[in-house]
Amino acid sequence: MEAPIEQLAGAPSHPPVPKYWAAGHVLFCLVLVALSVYVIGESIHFSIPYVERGDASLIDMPGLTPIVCSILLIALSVPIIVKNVAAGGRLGYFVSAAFVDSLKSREAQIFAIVFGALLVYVGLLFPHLPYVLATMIFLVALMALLKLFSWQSLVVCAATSGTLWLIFSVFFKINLPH
Amino acid sequence: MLLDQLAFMGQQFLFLFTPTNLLLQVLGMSVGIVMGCLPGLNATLGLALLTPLTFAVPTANAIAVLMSLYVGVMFGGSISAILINIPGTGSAAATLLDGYPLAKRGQAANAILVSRWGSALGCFIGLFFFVICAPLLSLVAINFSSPEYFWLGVMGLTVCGSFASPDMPAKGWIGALLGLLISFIGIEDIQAAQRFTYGIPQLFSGVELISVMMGFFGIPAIISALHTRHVVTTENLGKADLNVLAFLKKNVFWIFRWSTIGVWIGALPGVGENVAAFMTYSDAKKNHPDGPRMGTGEYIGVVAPEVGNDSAIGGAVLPMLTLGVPGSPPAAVLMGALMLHGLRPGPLLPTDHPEIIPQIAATLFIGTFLTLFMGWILTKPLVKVLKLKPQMLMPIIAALVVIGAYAIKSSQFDTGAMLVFGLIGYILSKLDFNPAPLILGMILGPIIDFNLRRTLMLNDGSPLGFFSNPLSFAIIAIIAASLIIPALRKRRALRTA
Repeated sequence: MEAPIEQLAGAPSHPPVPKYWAAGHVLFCLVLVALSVYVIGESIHFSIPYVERGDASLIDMPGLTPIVCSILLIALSVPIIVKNVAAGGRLGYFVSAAFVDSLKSREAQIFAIVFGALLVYVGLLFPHLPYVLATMIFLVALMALLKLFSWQSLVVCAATSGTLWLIFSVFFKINLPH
Repeated sequence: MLLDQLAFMGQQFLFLFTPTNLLLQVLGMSVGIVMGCLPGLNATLGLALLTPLTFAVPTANAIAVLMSLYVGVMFGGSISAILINIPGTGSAAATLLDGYPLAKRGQAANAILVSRWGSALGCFIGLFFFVICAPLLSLVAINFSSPEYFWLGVMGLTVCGSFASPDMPAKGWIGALLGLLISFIGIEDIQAAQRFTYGIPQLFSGVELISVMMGFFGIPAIISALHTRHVVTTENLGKADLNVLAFLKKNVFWIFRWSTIGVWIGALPGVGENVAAFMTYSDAKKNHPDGPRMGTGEYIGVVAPEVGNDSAIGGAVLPMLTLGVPGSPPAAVLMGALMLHGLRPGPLLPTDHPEIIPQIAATLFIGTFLTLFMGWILTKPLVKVLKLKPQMLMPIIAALVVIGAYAIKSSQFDTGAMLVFGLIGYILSKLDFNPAPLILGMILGPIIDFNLRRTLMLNDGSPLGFFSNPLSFAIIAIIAASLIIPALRKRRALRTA
């Protein structure tokens, strides 16, 4: 996330672009172009009734700024796509053995564990169980999935759930799920 | 006006010296130092996590605790940078270059001592610039009309984009445009049209900024902390035997110079403390007499980035309060927190709520001394905190992120939104997109949209309205510079390569 000092000082940095990096940028920028096209279409769609009714003109219609931003987004994304395709970025990378291997990396596994646990917590436990119970289950499960399970961790999970409930629900009167 | 401000600041200082406020500041500072020390957690996430807890308290108390946390995180980050060679925050990434070699030589205590004083002095000089510049900037800002606001918003995004991705500014600008598109979700201000709401009532008021930030900063931070293994190699801090006052006296010119750089970088929209720390480190390496030895364990390599990142706080809150354009991602969260308390940071803030700027100045003043005091008290216990297993700590942070996103509006929809933005934030972090422009885009989106269309409406569709005021030209010149300078720099670098 942090730019290296040489970059901040304006010095050039020309390391060879890895294939996964280039492919990631191509895919991401293609998604941006598709999103921009959709936003332009949608902006025209929700602006037309206002223009037809005379409530707005083409220069102040509600979709004006989203359309301008989308055009700029396409204009900035296309050169990145071209540059990364030239550097060897291909969408085929995402069905290659190298990509499948990268999904087995430690970071990918941690991502799957954390995101999966959060998904279950936010989507299933949080809306349907009392807050303390839902949070306790989430904490114990996530710690166990991260290979941390002991009586101390159970105590920490119980204490954390109770403390959060006490602070938010009792002290700050926030309506937590019952 | 300046004298009024100083007198008012004096009153607020006395107010902040009440036991409750002092206790809150000590609490905020302690949480900030601990949070800053833990790798992965930064000021933005810390402020976002603490914001829901400040709903129920008066605004002055909320400011006290949040500002103290902001200051505390900046110093806390340097402790892990020095002790374990992993910066607790991005703003301490430059500190480790000399801090860790010092620790390996058994001078960790001295390095932390220098870092503490550097942070405190940076904070104090940042405060000095803040107190001087805030009334002046308010006087300029009061003359702004729609075209100037539009250009100001555009300036914020172009400058932030250029600085956030110096190697490829287009990536910074893409982030800014994505932030703008997210900000357009909801009912807009001119024709009350629903944009991208798909009939979902929770989207009528737009996407909740704090929830987005929780996901955007929280989830990548949790994964990164769990993924990074760190070992506390320097349990024995050594003896703090450096004559720090003599060292600071010898470098007083440089400290003032780096503080000025820090304030300037901090005041640039969305750029913030991380860049300020690297800029000051770079300046020290190029110009300080000890510069050639930096990187091998020089105290000057610790003090320069610490002065830079702490002085940037005063710079970052300056445009946030007077122009409504935050200077850094943590200042953006602070802005969100102030808005949740019914305040509208911008040119009208000094008139509508004259107490806010002096309150923040007074908090920074006390924060300077608390950095020294709490930093001294907490340094040794933090060696133990650094030994806490991330597998135990990060699930707790995850639970805090979820409840924080929920607590803003007691909305389960917001927790889902947090998760979606967490996924987007993680993907962007993997592609090395800096999150700052996106967050700034979300904040500046409504300002740009409203003032673009309003200016066009008032001028019957003529774009000449955007060029009718000398202030507009001044802002346009900065925008042009932010677009042209990176291109020229890249060209020059290619030519010399």
